[in-house]
Amino acid sequence: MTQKTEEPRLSRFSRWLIRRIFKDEGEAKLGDFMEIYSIFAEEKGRLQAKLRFWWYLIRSIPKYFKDSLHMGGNMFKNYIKIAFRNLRRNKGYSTINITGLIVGIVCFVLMFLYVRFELSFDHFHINSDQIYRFYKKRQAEGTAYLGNPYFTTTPAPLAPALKDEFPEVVNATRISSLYNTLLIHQKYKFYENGLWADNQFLQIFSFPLRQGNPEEVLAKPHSMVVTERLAERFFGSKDPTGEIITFHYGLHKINFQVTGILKNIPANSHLHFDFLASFINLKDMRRNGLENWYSSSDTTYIQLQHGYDYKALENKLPVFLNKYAPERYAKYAGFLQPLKKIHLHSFFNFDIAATNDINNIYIFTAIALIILIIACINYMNLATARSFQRAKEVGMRKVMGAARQQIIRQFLGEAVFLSGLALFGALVLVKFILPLFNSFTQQNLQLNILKNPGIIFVLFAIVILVGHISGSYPAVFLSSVRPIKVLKKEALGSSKGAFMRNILVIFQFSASIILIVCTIVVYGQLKFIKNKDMGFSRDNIVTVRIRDFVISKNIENLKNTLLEHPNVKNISTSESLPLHITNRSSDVKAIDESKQEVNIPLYYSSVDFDYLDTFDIKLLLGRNFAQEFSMDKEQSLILNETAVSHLRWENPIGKRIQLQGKDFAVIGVVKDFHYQPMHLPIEPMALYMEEGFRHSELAVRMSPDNIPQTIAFLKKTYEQYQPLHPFEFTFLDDSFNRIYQREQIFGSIFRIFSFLAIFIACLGLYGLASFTAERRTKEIGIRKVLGASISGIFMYFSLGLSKCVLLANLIAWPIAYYLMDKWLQSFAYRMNLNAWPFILSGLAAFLIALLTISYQSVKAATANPVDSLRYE
Amino acid sequence: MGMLSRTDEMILLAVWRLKDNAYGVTIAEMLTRTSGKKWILGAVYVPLERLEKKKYLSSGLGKSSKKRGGRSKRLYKLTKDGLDILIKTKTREQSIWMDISLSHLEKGYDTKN
Repeated sequence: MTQKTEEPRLSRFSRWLIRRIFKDEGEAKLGDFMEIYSIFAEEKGRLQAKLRFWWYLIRSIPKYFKDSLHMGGNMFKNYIKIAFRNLRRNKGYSTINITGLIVGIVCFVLMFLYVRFELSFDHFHINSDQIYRFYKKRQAEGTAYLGNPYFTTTPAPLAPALKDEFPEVVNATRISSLYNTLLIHQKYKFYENGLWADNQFLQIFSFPLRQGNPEEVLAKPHSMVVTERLAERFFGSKDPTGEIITFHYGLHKINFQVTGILKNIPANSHLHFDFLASFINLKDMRRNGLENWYSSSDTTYIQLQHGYDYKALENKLPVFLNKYAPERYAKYAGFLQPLKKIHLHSFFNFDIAATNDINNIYIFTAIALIILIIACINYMNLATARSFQRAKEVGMRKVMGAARQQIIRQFLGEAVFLSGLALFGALVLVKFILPLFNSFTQQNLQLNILKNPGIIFVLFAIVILVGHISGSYPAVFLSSVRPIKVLKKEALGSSKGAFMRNILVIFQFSASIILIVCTIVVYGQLKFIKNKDMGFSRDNIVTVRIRDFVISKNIENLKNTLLEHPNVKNISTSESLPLHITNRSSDVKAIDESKQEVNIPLYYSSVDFDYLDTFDIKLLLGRNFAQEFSMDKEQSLILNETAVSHLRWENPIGKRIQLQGKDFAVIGVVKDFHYQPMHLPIEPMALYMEEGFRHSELAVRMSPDNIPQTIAFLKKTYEQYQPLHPFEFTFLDDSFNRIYQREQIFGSIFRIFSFLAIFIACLGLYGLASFTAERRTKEIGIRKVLGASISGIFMYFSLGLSKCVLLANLIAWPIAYYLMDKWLQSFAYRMNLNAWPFILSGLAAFLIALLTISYQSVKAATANPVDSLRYE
Repeated sequence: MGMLSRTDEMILLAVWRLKDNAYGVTIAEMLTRTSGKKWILGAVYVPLERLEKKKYLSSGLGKSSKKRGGRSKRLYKLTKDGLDILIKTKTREQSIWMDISLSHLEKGYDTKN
């Protein structure tokens, strides 16, 4: 209110809206609205004026439309009446159209909700544009880990050093994972996900606190901040502040005092946690405390000055890293990743966040759009095919003086009207399907129009868009009708229309065939993976994660007790299961045949005497670890085939290898087994033994009979050792399947969508076929009178369709091949992409199409010619 | 020349009352004041344009001000036809109501008359 004559500042959107809606000439109306705004602004403050103005503007719009409709109101009423009459007269076609559109719009709405959610990640942080995550790349050739040289892990002192060194870094924080930690409060024990976080964490990220000051809650050691959900779990309705929660970290048992309560973490945050523990506590538990530049297990985030270009800081990183950790960071280059890109654009090893791939978003969007277009095509085809029915009406309107523009508008309006009806149906359907969709894609999407009025705009846009896509061609086609011709009952230029219809049908089937091929190939690859010989056995094996020190100390006793049970065949403890051996050392020295010292990166795992037997891993050369060789516990090592071939050793037994600074003798060679997902090629690997090493995996091979009873025995025996952690087991086969979960979901998405695509396409085809049959009854009657056989007429009917489907195949195959070849490239071990999926899906599409039209064509072919020829 | 709708009548009257200062905002204001119902801008444009098309009103761009963000006003004026139809309307109105007073109306038919 300070400046009364301040120029009214309307947002660009409202200015655009006024101009568009009120068809403003000379901007006088815009001026009027600005004046109204100025009046409001003089009476009340800026914000209130803004709100009032918006309300005013929104009320103005329907008023205006109501009045302008009144002008052409009679015609409009007539259009609506005609649209309704057409819907009712052709119930069959209308059902086909609306069903197709409903399915298409459902797909689209689901896609929209999903994509909107995925794109909204981390946008809720107030500083989201200023926050960056540090990541690094291993520079040297061939040192990629699991096929990937990028890491987000950083040393603990990085965050404070960045803040001290650069004035543009406003704040910096580091966190470390505490996922799956057993929290204990009195008699309550729950596994929870948490983070070690320093005091800056809640200052940079705006996770809202319900209780506590974000600048203090994590300042002192032994402080813990919990979410409402966790507080509810442990303390019910009691105020948790000041309560003590305990957990074990390595060999340490630490008490924490609750200092603050967070609101539950939104689902669209890349970090998911239910508690935060003071980072400072790590100081006493790590070697060299928090000043060690040579161990990286944290994630570092920085907040830059507003508007500062992070690329400029990235350029200064090499000098900075060289100054603080020259040896270490000679091998690495440092980079920054904007916060909002973390969810969809991450490609890192040891990422603390479970991220998604932007390509999934593209694929999903593309598929949903294709389904929608297929549905629109149904509308186009049926509308133009039946054009002769409407042609008379158009001719009449034209005679009465309708301009072509008006008729175009009429048909577009009809399509928009229909898609509006479909939208309504789709929304009802989405309400029902959404829970199913959520459980299936493991999302928590919601369609809440009241909470999110923005959706209304999008839905509105969908209706307009779908109406215009599907109405465009019929409108142009029908409005081009020449009145004289129609009214004289001359045939329409239907060959042109038929040609266009065929093209559209070909498009529908190409898309459907592509989706079917994708489905077959994805499932084929999954089957390939499942049936491939992994090099180890995963049947009847149960694994238990050992988290307790008590158990580790008595592991030999536990093993012996368990082995007494007749159904327990083998037991092995190890550092890693043969499914995931991910420890890797690039610091390996070996002497090759020509006495040269060679360096190869080597994956490794500490195992025990029974590892090879339990998992049924084949020994090719040499011997297994054995109790009678006392040296095996310290100095022996078994390599895989690939390691031997990389080292180019003719006779590997007895050769020596230095791993992690210790000297080992090679005693055996195992056949290559897949210790990593099929995406990655098998690389050199070693199994070794180390006295006193705490193994974290316990694997039990059981006989296949009476497994529940054996597991009950495992549980009972395990609990006799009084572990802190509850007994939990997993079947190795389940862990295996979980690795390919992403591909499983991918496959089911393709399955569902290819079904929908072909369903909608066939719906349209059925409509077209029944239409053709209807129009050609006379022709068929004459053919039959002249001696055509039923099968002959059936063939004649299917010929056009066969041509279409054949052409669709020719278009679909190369595209599908390109796409699937690309997808399969992401696997190091993949199925042969032969002709079968293509032929199969082409054939399937053809048969389904044939089946669809067969009812109509058989009906037409078997009809008595007398009936069809009697009409005139 | 036919009859005016109530809205048209009120708008023409508002323009007449406002003399040289009849444009969107003032017309809406005047209507609110005289009809006792709230009128918003969106509701006056269409009738204004319709009346202009029927040649009862003419319009031209007028002055601008800072309040309007420098946009000029579209000022409306009654034409000769417009004035005629208002006069006609008024006459007709009077003749319709001529022999009826409010108290008359409330009491109902006067059988004695």
